[in-house]
Amino acid sequence: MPGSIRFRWSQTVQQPLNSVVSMQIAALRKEEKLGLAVAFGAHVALVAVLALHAMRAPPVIPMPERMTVSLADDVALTSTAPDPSQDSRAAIAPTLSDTPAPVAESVPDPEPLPRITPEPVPRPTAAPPKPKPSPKPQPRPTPKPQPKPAPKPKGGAAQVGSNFLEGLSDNRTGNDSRMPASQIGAGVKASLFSQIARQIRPNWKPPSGADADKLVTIIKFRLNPDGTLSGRPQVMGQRNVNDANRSQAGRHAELAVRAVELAAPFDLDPKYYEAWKNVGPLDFDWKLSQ
Amino acid sequence: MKKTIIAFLALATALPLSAQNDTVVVPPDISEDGGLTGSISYEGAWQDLGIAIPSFATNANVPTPANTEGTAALGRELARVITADLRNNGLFRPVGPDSLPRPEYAEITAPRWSAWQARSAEMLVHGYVRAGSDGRLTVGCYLYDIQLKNELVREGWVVPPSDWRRAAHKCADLVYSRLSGESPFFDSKIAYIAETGPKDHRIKRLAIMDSDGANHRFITSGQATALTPRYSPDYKQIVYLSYLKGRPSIYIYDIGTGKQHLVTTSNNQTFAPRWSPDGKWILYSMAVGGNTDIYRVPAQGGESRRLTDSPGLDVGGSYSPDGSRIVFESDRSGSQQLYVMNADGSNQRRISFFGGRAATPEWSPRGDQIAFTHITGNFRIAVVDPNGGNLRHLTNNWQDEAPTWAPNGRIIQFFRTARNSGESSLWQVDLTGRNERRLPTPVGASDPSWGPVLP
Repeated sequence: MPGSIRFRWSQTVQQPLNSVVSMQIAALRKEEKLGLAVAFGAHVALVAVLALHAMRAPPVIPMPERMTVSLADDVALTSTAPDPSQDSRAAIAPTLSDTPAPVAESVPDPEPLPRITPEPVPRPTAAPPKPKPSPKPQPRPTPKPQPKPAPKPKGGAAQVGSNFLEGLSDNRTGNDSRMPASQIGAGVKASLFSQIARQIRPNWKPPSGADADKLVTIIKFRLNPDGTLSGRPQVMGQRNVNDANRSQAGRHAELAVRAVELAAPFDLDPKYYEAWKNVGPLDFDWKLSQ
Repeated sequence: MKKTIIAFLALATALPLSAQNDTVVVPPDISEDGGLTGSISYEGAWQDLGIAIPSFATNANVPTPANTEGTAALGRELARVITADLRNNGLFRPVGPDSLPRPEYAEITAPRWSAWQARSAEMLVHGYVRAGSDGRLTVGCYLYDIQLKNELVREGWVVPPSDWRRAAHKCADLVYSRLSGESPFFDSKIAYIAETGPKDHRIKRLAIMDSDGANHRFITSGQATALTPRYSPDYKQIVYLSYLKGRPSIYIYDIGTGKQHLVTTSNNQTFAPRWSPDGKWILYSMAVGGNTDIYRVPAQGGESRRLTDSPGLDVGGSYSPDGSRIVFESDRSGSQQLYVMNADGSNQRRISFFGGRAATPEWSPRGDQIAFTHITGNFRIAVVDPNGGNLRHLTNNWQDEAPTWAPNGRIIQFFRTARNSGESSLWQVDLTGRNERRLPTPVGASDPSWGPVLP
């Protein structure tokens, strides 16, 4: 009978296995049992610690705020401001004279003269910051060191500063409190340019012809404060003229000039006239739609 | 370290954005004179230029041989011819005199800007026609920029009444060349082969017509089959191939005198006569004993000299404009391809390596391009530069073949065979390939050759 044979076989195989396991546990020495218990306990402790750690909320790592990086290659060499002024009002410190004025000492009259120095004007040192009209932040409005207040003679509250002979800013009467700087920032220029481009683009239509889409005409022009053209736009040059499109090159330049003439007068903020009175070099080209 | 990585990430994410915004406006840079700089791009495809062409005005409506109703009606016809010339060349959207108000004589030099600005046209053609006491016509033509309100160009011509169409073509040429930068070509004549009769028994005659199909006339009678006409470089003569009773002969027809003389005749198969740029030589191909080669013969007749000697088919030589090189078609490599050799037959080398077969090369009068028929399943007109590079297809149809150049080297004409009927017609295409135009011919037409722009 095959069934009884298999049963008997398995009986004989299982018997020795059981006896081996029980024999091994029984054969452990005391210190081994202790070590096993310690290792078990340590593992339980480790799992408990990890579980506890996982249940806690993860620590929040503060992410630094995303910053916009503008790669400007023209920083710091010249100072920029939204509305540059070469002759801002000089900042005057409210210096109180703690020593008698030297003028008073030179006077032989023993009687102390009535104080001739006017009261120090209680002007704030820095002009109230004007709200920046530019919508774009200046990359680095480096204050120009030039018109900084000249060192005052100590004790004297004289209105004629030592910078008088140097011809530096001594403008105390004007109300021109703009930031002293020599140029308008790149951000303002970018938005001025896009305003000009917006007005020119609908009028710009290059000529057709073989390779005419490769032509580039470079134009410059001047503008009057009211936005009209000052003289005709000038062609500074052309690029990518080859044998195939040479006959269109003249027409290309003519149409570029025409586009500017049709776009004028330009609607630009007169405050920034210094920035937009010269426009160019301006490239006129043709991008075929992809 | 962390900061730089994050800054870099911010940059990386910001870059595609800025690239999208800057497709049109490149951020300005500080130029040397401190001006605003950048670039302004026209985007998209070419849009046709709207041109208003109202009737030409006249100071007094007087009778003229050119028109039975007098000069006022002639002024309208002039504007119609100009409108037809400028239409269908893909550059302009002309509006003719039939849908425009008729200007007064005084308005020709002082257009009413406000009225024209209200229309969509950008350019305005004004003109007048005056009949002189001797019957001759004075036609003036003015081109104005409506938006800028200024005059672009003006010109006037005095023509006999029979040439009134030429005055209109001259005006169309003036407008075309001023606005496209290309040389004029409307006031020119075209020689072609007029085909009549059934397909298996075609009568092929040499014919000449104006560039718009007017003033058509046949030059040969049709007894002999005429083929492949070519204008001489001075445009005073036409060389063509004539088959009389199966015997090919090369004739030169003098347009001024109407006479023709024989250059060479042979019992062998002869084809494709072409001029040299100095007008002294004729290139042709001849099959002698199964070997077709290119020969050169003086235009006044004389001894022929063989230029190629390879076994196989060498046909269709065309000189470069300086006369130093010849482009021709040869099957020495197994299929028809383009080859260039020196004018004396030396230094033969293949220039076409772009697949398919290439046939009937023609060197541009400007020298910068070679037009040919590219055979890749269908027949297409294509151009390459003289080194075989920069292949451009200009047409894509069932069968376009035999390109020849307009005198300005900017327009190619060819003939197109319809797929089923076998009807052939003359077409023009410009070098952009965008502007195709069918030339009206009274009968079927093939083998066009563009004549001169008339002085």
